[in-house]
Amino acid sequence: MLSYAVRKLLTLIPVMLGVYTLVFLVMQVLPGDPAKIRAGPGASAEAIENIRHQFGLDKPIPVQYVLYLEKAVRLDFGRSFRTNQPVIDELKTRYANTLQLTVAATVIFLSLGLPLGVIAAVKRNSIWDGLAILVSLLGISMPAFWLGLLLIWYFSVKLGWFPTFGFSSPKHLILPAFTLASYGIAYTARYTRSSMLEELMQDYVTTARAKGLRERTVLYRHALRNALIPVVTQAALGFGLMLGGAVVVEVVFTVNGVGKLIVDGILYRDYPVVQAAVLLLALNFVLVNLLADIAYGYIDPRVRLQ
Amino acid sequence: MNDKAGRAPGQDSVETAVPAGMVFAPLRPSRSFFSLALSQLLKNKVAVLGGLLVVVEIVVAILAPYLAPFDPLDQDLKSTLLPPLTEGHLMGTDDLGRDMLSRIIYGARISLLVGVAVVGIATVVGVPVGAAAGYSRKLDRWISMGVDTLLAFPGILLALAIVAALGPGLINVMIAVGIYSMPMYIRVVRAQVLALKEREFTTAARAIGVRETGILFRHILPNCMGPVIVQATINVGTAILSAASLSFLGVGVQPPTPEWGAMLSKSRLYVVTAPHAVTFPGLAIMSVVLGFNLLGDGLRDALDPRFRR
Repeated sequence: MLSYAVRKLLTLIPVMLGVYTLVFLVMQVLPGDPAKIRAGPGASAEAIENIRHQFGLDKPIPVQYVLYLEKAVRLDFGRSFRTNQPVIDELKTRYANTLQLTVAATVIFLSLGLPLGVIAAVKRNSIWDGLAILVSLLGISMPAFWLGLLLIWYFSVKLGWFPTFGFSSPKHLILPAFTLASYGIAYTARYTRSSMLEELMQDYVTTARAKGLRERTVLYRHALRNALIPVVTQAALGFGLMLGGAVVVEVVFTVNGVGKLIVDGILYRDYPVVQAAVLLLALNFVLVNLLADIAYGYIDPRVRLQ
Repeated sequence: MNDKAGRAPGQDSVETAVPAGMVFAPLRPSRSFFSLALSQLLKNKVAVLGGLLVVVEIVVAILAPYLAPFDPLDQDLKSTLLPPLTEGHLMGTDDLGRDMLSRIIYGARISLLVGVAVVGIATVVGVPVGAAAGYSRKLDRWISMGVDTLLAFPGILLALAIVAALGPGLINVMIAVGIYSMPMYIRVVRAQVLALKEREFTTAARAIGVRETGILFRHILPNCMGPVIVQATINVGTAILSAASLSFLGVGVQPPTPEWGAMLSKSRLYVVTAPHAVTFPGLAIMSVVLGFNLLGDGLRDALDPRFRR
C-alpha cells in the first residue's frame, strides 16, 4: 500500500513541472511589459530599467525559468505589482477563504447528492428517481454564476435572509457554498444512482435476497457498500472541481478567495499574483486527486495491483 | 436511409444472383449501424427533446435578423431597464435601453459559433494526437504527460490562464476553451485505439499487407467515431458554458457584443432593480446547454450497442 502511494506521489513531479512550465510560458506571452506595469504610468526609462534588473527580467528566459522555479519551490513568489506585498502573504489569507468555501460546498454536495442518488436507484422510476434525474440535468446545465445571481435576488434581496456579498460570518457562506455545490450535487446524484443500479443487478444481491435477508440489509449493507467504492473517488474529484468552480462563485458573491484574486490579477495585470495563485490551485487539485487515487487503492485492493 | 446509389437498404440486386427456380424467404432489410442508431435515438423522448432545443437554437441563430424585433446594439437611454412586456419589448431592456429579446436572439449566433469552433479546434488536434498516443507507445508517454498537465488545472482555470495570455475577444475565447477541451478527446480516442488495435480486423488488415498508416486511418479511426461524436455533442454545450463563464468574468467576449455571459456580467449590477435582465440570458444558456447534454446522452445510448434492446 505504501509503495503504491509513493509510486503515485512520484508521478506528480513531472505533472507539476509541466504545470509550472505552462504557467511560465503563459506569463511570457501575456500582453504588456511587466517592468513597465510595475513601474506605473509615467515612469522614467531608467526606473523601468531598474525594475527590470531588480526582478531579474533582464536575464535570458531560460535563466528566468530556473530562477523562478527555484524561488517557487521555497514558496517565494515575489511581490504583488498592485499592493507591493509579498504574494505568499496575500495567498495565505485568500486561500483560507477559498478552502472554507470549497469544504462547505463539498459537505453540501455529498449530503444532498449521495442520498438522492441512492433513493433514485432503490426506488427506480418513482417520483424520487424523476427528481434525481431532473436535479442532475439542471445542475449540470445551469451556469453557476446565474444560479448565484438568482439566489442573491431571491434569498438576499427579496426575502432578506442572507447578506448579498462579503464573507465575514457563517451566514455569508451558505449561498456561495450552495451555488458552488450545485454542479457537485448533480454530478454525485447521477453517479451514485448509476453505480447503485449496477450493484443492484449483481448476482450477490439476488443471493442475499434468496437467503432471506431483509431488504434493508440487502440494500444498505451489501449493495450500497460496493456502490460507494467509485463514489469515493468521484467525491474527491468533486472537491477538486469545486476549487475551479470557486473562481466564478467568488466573483459573483465578492468572496476574497484565490479565484477572485486570479480574476482581479488578470484584469489589473498583476502577473506575479496570477502566476502563484494558478500554481497553488493546480497543486491543490493534483494533491486531492492523488488522495482520491490512494483512497481508491485502499478501499478496493484490486486497483493497487494494476 | 439510402446508400450511395440511392437504393433503399436491403433492396440489393439479389434477384439476379439467385438461380432461377429457387424460392427464398423475403430478406429482412439489413440496416446500417447509423440507421439503427438513428431509429434508437428517435425512440428516446428525452433525446428528442434535447435535439429540439438544439434545432431551435440553430434556427434562431440563422434567422436572427428576421426574428429580432430590434437592432441588438441599438441604445435608447430614455428607456433603460424596462421590465418585460413594456413598449413592445417582450423581455424588457438592458441598462443601455437595448432590447433584451433581440440581444438574446443574436446571442444564439455567438454561442453556437463558439460551441462549433471549440469542438472543431479540439477534435482537429485531439483526435490525431489521441490516435498517435494509442498507436505508439513511445509517443504515448509524452502525450499522456501533456494531457495530465492540462488536466492538472481545476475547472475553468486553464482556459482562464490561456485567455489571460491571449487577451480578451471572441477568437481568443474559442482558442482557450478549445485547448481546455482537448484532453477529453485525446483520452477518448487513445482508449479506443488501444482497444481496437488488438482486434482481429486489425490483424487481418495487417496480414493482407495494409500499411500501418492505412490501418490507423482506414480501419481503426473510423471505428472510434461513435464515442467522438458523443463527446463532441456534449462538448458543444460545455464549451458554450465555459465561454459564457469567461465572458461573465470579464476576460472573454467584450461588450457591446450580445454574448449571454457578458450580458449577465453587466446585468448583475442591476439584480435588485431589474431581475429580468439577469433571468433571460441565464435561461438561454441553460436551455442550450441542456439541449446538447440531452442529445449527447441520447446519442451515447444509441451508439453503444450494449444499451440496445
